[in-house]
Amino acid sequence: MSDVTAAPRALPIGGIGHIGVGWWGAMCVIVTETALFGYLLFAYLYCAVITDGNWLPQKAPSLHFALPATLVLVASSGAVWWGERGLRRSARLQVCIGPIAAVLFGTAFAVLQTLEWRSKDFSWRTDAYGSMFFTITGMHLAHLLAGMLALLIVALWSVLGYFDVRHNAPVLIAAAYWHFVVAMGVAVFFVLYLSPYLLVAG
Amino acid sequence: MSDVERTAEFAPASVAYRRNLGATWATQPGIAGWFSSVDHKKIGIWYIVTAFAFLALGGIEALVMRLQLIGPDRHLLSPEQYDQMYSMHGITMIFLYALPVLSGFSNYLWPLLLGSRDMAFPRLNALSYWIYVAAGLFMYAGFAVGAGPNNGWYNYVPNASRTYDAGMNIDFYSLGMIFLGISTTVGAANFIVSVLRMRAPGMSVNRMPIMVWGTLTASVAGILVVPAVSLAFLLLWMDRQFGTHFFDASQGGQPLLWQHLFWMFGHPWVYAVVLPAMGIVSDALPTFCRRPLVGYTPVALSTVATMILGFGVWVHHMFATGMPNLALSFFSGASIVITVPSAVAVFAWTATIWLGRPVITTAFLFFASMIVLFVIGGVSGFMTASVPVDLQLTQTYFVVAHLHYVLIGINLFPVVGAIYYWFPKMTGKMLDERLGRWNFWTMFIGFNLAFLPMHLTGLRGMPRRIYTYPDGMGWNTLNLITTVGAFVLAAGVLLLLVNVLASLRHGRLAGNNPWDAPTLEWSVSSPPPAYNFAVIPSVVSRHPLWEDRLQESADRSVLESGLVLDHGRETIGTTPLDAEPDLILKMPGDSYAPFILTVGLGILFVGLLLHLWWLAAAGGALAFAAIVTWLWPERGLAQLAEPGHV
Amino acid sequence: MFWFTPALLASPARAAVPLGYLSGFGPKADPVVMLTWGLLLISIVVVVIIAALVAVGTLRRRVRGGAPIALVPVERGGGGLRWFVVGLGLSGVVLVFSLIWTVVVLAAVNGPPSAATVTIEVTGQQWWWKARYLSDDASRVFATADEIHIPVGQPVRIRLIGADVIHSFWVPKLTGKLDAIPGQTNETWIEASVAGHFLGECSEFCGVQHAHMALSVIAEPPDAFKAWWNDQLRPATIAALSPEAAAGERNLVYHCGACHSVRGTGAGGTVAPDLTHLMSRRTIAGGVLPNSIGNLAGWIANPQSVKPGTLMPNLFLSGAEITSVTAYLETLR
Repeated sequence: MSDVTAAPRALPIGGIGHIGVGWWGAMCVIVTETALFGYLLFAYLYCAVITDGNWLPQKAPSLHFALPATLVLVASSGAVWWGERGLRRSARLQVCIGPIAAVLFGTAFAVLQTLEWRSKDFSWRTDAYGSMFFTITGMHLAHLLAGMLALLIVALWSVLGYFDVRHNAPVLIAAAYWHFVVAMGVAVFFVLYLSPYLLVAG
Repeated sequence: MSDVERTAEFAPASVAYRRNLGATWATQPGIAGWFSSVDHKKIGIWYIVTAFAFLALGGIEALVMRLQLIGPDRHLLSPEQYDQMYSMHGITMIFLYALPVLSGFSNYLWPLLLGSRDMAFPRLNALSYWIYVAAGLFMYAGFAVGAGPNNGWYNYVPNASRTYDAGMNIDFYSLGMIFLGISTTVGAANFIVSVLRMRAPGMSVNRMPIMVWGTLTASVAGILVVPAVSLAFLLLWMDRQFGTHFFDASQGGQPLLWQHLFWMFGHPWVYAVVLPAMGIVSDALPTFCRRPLVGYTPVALSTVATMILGFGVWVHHMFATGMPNLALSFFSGASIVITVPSAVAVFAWTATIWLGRPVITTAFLFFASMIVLFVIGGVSGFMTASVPVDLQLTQTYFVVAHLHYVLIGINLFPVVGAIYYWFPKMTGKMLDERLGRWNFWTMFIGFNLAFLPMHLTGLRGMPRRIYTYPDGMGWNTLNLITTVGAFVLAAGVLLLLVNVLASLRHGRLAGNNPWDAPTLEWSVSSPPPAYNFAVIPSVVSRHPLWEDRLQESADRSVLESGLVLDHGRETIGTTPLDAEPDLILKMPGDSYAPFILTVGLGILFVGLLLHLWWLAAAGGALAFAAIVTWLWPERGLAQLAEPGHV
Repeated sequence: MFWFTPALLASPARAAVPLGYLSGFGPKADPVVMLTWGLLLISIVVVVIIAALVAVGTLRRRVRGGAPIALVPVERGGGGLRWFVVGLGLSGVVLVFSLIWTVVVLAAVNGPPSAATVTIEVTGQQWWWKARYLSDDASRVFATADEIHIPVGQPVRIRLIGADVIHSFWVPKLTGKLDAIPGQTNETWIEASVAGHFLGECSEFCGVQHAHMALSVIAEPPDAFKAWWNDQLRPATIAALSPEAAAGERNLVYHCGACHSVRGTGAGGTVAPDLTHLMSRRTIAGGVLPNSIGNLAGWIANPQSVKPGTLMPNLFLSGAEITSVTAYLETLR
């Protein structure tokens, strides 16, 4: 064990990046929200498995909108990552543009998602599958919109000059949240859109 | 001196220094302080008092039920009234008393136990309290207007659907639980980050009090499983308002999906409401045995093991639903195995008594008796773990007896013991010992009189949740005894209240360490100053105040001198495993944002309840504004870039 | 408000604890009764041992005389490890033994010892039990309510259907519980080794009258059972009815036929109990009242006063109408 009365050294002050408490709190939020999506997808898979697949619609859902939407989503993650890198050089503009680009990608995703919803011939009240489908994709969209709000606010704060190489926790946190939203989008894509093809084949 | 980093001095605390520090950390006086304080000690006491208020409400509900059931075919309550009574009793006790009271003790004690000045997120701490109160009021509002939840605390579908429960009863419950879930989640996050990043230098993980292990475990479980129940209630609320079909068998919905989601939450939850209390016993009982706990490491590990296993047994609540034999055998086996880590704690406590020199005080009596009550609850649980036996025991009063032994025995009794133990620290006064003995024996006799015969009531087949029963079933005398016992227990709890109120006025002065206990909270005054520790202590063992007596190493914890952190509200951040200082944390002062955010969320939920979507949107907007204000970077919290930097 | 005639109370299978399960009367109950007693005894022994250790441990080295606690020396003695080794060792043995016994019993009661001779489809609905006796011969299928007969010494398959909410089928002295869940059919079996009347009870909260959803299982010798079945197949006849009873039959078909059925008349409703052989049953209204003309009249006149919340409506029949209906019901033996 260390000698606790050893000569003290200079310690950083405040919520610095990944060692600040804000980051750790945000990780707890992301863990709990990931668990939420876990339970949503469990509910979907439970219904599918317990009915031997009869609960799923005859045709697997079309990838016409879903595939491009998912790709757009992954691209938005890249934009956020790029913006975050601007922190290292205290490039205020980069830290602002990255999130804004991600918001634009996110908007494109939301538009594609809405178009896909309107293309469906069932509603969330038609049957249990419809309820699940719209609720899972809707929950994801809600988290996406919250993430977009967070990114916009972070972009604003960046423009106001709040961040530098040390003081940047909100950027890291908003970025982490966004990556979480993208990861959940990919997971939803796999379970709702790709697994029916696998179940049918298997 | 840079505002970006600093070398904190290592020095003792002068009187003038303490006075300045006190002014820095003091809460605003008066009404303003009530709504804006972020002091963990105040919040802890609010939690405990509020939880006991709900305990009293839940207790009255129980007494009314017991009067209805005192004999066969009584007409004190209509069936609908009885159903609301038993549902509110369960909801109140499990959600509005059992966890919040432990949150209260953890909130109050953790920074003091860990050698810190506050929790990681003081404003979030206040938020979790305010939301708890608001959600409790929300659900009781339903009860007050005669539309309280009426389908039991686990609220199975399809009986909970709009078809079979047409009023607003289940809407109050669903939205109230989603609301409460926010409180539980943020509170859990606060505990997790606090314990991992804010312990005193030198307090490595194997030097933390067991209570900290207990609450940490419960908190990790909370953030993993609360989404399951929140989701279940959200899906139910949607079925009821919008005609979705999650649980509607006629349109492909699955009634059992509710049970899976609920119990995936519900089973870990019952461990969350007992593991911190078991930790309290593990920390406080040794003080009265004049020796350290026997088997710290096994107990710490078994705390975590119990919770991990606790994630894998939820199906034992569903043995009668028609599961395949393989699933039944697996979950039966897991449910039997989970008694092993719980047994570790029992052996540790019993050995500590046996190998120590017991000093019998009221607190000791509550902790020691808890061991026996724990075992009774444990063995009745062991019996229900066996599937064929469970198919007879489930849904009878045998399970009611089991759950009351585990909840009252492993939560309430340690909590009352904790009150006797830490009341002196919180108030500076001792609770009266003579009254304490009356308190203990009344509660102990009343509780066992009420619930020990109830095992037999269950073995004689009396089902749960029936508002009356016929003559000639062999249940009359047993129910009479249970009712009498319940009233004696209630009298015992009343004696606790009397003792608290009387001692607040006339109690003997306590001093810093009336129990000659070993942990850090006993090194500061009673009650502690607003800043807890004038200088941050450094620890080298689990029992800083017993090191001279135990003589187990040459090293000594240093309490009189320590890190000086007095540039505003500050405390030290340390590494997760070894607790080496790595950060100076700037702590927020009083703030109204948590209260205003709660008001906004409350308006949102009321709007959803009443289908007033504009009201819900207004509440959401207020909540959003409060969040943005709260999170806006502040110079005082070292959240802004240095001027001149980009 | 359960009532039982003295004859039922005297039945050897009932005893003073009709819903108790510390004794059983069939091959599905017997192994479970033994396991229940076994685990109960283990539990009591464990509690006694721990309570003794805590009590003796507290008393034997306690500090007497009220010395201030700070004067009692603090010391860490050894020997703690032994407690864990012995405790966990003993616990482990007992738990493994219990687990093995559990799995053995689970396998033993999983399926009947011989093939089931009778299949009954039991539907749980708020707040009564419908029992439909199945047969390969369609003419031998019939429905009754709340009281099922089974042949002694022969296994009976029970198919459980949930009509509205989750109910749970339980006859403590013969079998453990199984839920009736909407959307799925659960299957179990029961068998009585002696003749007698066995009480059952709904065991999952199912609404305001969950407390009054009893079930009776009458086990009788196979010949008597067969005779009962044949008797239940007989439709009601209007021949040899008194004028009042004949009027009652018309009133019943008119007022009650939308929900109730009486085979041989125009009453063909399926959402309420079949009344064709109503008077052969011992209780009415889900086991709430003994079956008698007086009780029937009271039930029909004001169902809510007997069973608040019941789904049987008050039809506001006049006194004369009720008298005629009960006169007719009396003939449905």
